[in-house]
Amino acid sequence: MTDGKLQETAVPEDNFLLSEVAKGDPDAFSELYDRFAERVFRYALTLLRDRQLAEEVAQETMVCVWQGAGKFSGRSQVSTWIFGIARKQAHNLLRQETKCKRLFPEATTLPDPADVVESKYQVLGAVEALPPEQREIVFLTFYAGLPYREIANLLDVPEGTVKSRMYYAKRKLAEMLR
Amino acid sequence: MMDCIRANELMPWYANNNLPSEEAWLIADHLVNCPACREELRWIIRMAREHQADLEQMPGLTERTWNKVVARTRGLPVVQVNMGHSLLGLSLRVLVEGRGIPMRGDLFLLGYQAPLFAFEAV
Repeated sequence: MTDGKLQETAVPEDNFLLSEVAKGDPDAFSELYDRFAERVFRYALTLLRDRQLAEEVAQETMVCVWQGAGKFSGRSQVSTWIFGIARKQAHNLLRQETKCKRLFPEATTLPDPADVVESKYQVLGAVEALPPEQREIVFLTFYAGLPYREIANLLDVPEGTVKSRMYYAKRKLAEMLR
Repeated sequence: MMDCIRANELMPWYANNNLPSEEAWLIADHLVNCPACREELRWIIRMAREHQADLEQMPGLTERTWNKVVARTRGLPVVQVNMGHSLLGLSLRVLVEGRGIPMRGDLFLLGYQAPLFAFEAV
């Protein structure tokens, strides 16, 4: 994806890249896109379960990053800030889609354990069966690699809520996978 | 001392090396004498890796998304003239983006890109 590489030999920090993006540096933006777009897409896919909409969220999020890089206050990690934008975009899209009566199918019951065992993506299949708020925590912890404090900040919930959602998610995953 | 309940609560972030050091030390101390929690940690690490691997294997974004983002941020080239080749070349581009019509000229030398000029007609 990158048209040109940054001149630094060491891997630049996310904060540095974002400050360069704020100055309008296209190479820094390419690098930031390479680091985050895919993760944002998978996060949106976790929230929306619709590939086309997830692509839309990834696109909108990265455009917002380009336009709003100068507004980043540094109070959180860059990844938390970017996932926060993605979350807002996903929820906006979800609202629009709901208004248009295009609701997404949501898993309300646990899948048959036999199906899960047969599944190619065993763990992912089990995570998919979790309630949305638990699925999101599992993604942000295990895939995005965010600390629980950053997740609490991103979701705007107390840290205890993050821990308890993870606790219940773990318990359900253990029932399905162990 | 940390008990099993508290250790279990924080274990996913310990497995990810994402705990503040004071909490990480407390869990590490607890794990020395608790085989059940060590087993729990092994399971979480295995599950986290599999979850990540599963997600990585799924088809990701296409080049199309990047092209759309570029068009909306850095502009869509409406006129582009390239001269020379990969060792030494000159590129002149007129773009259209949301804010105006920027024009850019870049010099390419041995794979590096150096801007020659850039201005924007609103």
